[in-house]
Amino acid sequence: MINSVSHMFFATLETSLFVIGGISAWYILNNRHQVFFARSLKIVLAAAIAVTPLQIYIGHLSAEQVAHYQPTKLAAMEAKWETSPAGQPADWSLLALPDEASQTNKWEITIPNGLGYILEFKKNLSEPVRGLKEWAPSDRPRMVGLIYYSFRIMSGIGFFLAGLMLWSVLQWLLGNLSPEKIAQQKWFLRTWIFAAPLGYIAVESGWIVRCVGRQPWALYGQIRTADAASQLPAGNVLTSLTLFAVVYSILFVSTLYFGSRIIRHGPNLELPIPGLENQLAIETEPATFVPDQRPVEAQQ
Amino acid sequence: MDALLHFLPQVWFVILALFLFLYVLLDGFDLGVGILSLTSSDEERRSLLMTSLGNIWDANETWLVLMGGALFGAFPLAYGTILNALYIPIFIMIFGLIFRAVAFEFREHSNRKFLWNFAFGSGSFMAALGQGFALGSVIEGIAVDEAGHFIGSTWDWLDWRSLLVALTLIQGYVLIGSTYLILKTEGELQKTHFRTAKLAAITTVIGAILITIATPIVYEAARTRLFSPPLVYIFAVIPVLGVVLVGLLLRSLNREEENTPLIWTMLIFLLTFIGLGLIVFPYIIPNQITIYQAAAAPSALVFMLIFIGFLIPIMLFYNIYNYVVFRGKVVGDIYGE
Repeated sequence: MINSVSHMFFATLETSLFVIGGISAWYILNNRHQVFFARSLKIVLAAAIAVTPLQIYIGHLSAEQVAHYQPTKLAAMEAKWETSPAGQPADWSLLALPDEASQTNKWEITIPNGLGYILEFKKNLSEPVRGLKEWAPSDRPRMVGLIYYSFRIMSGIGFFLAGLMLWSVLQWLLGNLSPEKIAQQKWFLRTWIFAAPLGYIAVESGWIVRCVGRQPWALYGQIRTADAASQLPAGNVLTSLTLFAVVYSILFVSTLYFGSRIIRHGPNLELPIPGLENQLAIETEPATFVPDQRPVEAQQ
Repeated sequence: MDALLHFLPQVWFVILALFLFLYVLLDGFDLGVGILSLTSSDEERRSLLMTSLGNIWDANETWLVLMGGALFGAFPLAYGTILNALYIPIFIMIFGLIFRAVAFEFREHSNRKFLWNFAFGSGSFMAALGQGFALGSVIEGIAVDEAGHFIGSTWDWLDWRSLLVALTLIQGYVLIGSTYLILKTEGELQKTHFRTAKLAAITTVIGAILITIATPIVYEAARTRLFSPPLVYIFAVIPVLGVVLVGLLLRSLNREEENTPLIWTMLIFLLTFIGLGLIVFPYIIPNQITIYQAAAAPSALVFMLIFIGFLIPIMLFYNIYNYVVFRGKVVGDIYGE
């Protein structure tokens, strides 16, 4: 549990970091408050150095847990229909078109012997990885394609953000992130803007993997979703779900509208720091004019 | 062990009651101010009303979240049944609270303030209405089978008695909201709320009297419980105390005192709450399911008790600290000391 909790915790951190980074990059690209936002981008970057690789590692730990406790979810995440026995290498599928009717992948691109390296960092599996066919269709998740691609989108974004972090660190070391030079790195800044919404997409995809992948169970192996559902008439639930969808769509659009408005308006850099008003007052007060009282000869 | 099986659900019943009371009290004036904002004529006044809540409303609503969580953890059976039976009123409340909450944030940045003003006022009204209907139908009783599952229909919660409770609760919220505004505002705005509070006090009392008369007449079970010892003694005292408190409230309003109206109103809420709690106990769904039937396993109750034991003092401290920091009258868009 601690792994999946921290995976979510770092996911929110990473999302916020790249949102702040993307906004900072947008300001720099538009030549506004460059010094201020070059600094904020560097703060984000410093945190991302720790967070992005750690998140990938915690994600790996979570996947190990899934493999151990919820093997059907792992099989669906990898669109794996046949069991790979222990003591042998197994291919890892990079992209595939899963077909549930025939219980195979219609086509796929695989990395030979990849599965052992991904799960256990070695070639041969020490434990068998069970395929979906081991379970009756009623005991394993449907929509394998959705789970498979959601997982790939999530982990793809995780690696992309880590890669962006590495690229940025390289630029930093080369001195290209100084306030004078940073505005010229157009594509670098555009990539950061592009990365701003990716964290949200990764989080959503991760939840799809988690919850669709757990089906048909509400609590894995304990209680089925069908048994856990409330006895409310389906019409009620459909109504409230529709209302939620409508309300949240309105709120989503309003959030984007007001959010972009706040960003376009820009920060007020003249606001005093709370609790430091007095200090600031002293600093900004113009010095009293003291007329030069030396004799006229000395002034010249 | 047997004593523990009784003691733990009772402890959790008291904790839940505490959460519910704090929620009704704190979000009560919150929602009341929201409902009152529907009637205020100009933007400056409305702005003052919203500023008076800006720093506290979300802390107040935390108690609702905590209550939902505690009900789910401690009395899962009641949670399932009540939420099934009150699906629509609870959704009315939730959508009301959603619109109200975003109105605080979006209004500040919007050029069309009237939209978010309306979202704030009507959201507050909807939330109060949903809560009133929920309270009304819980008092009325919920149709359950022997296992405690809901067997009624979707619209069971809607009838004239729950409507009466809902309207009275809204009046009560307006009352506590206007006494809060008496405390937080000054001048003309404060004067208005002395009048509003007086009116709301009278309508609330009329509603409460009607409910007190109607409940024992309509419900057999409530009647037998109310008119047999020991409850009959307590319920001889509560109306007397109620009359005294209402009298004190009206007197303080007539004298235009600033702090006391809110205190008397809070005590009236407390008295009503104690009365309701005594009628309901030991049931969690009145006259159907007792707290002992609905309680989770003792191990779960103990486990949760440890966490909540740490959490309650922290939350209370934070809540109080919040009020201390933002004490004083509201002036313009910021707080004056």
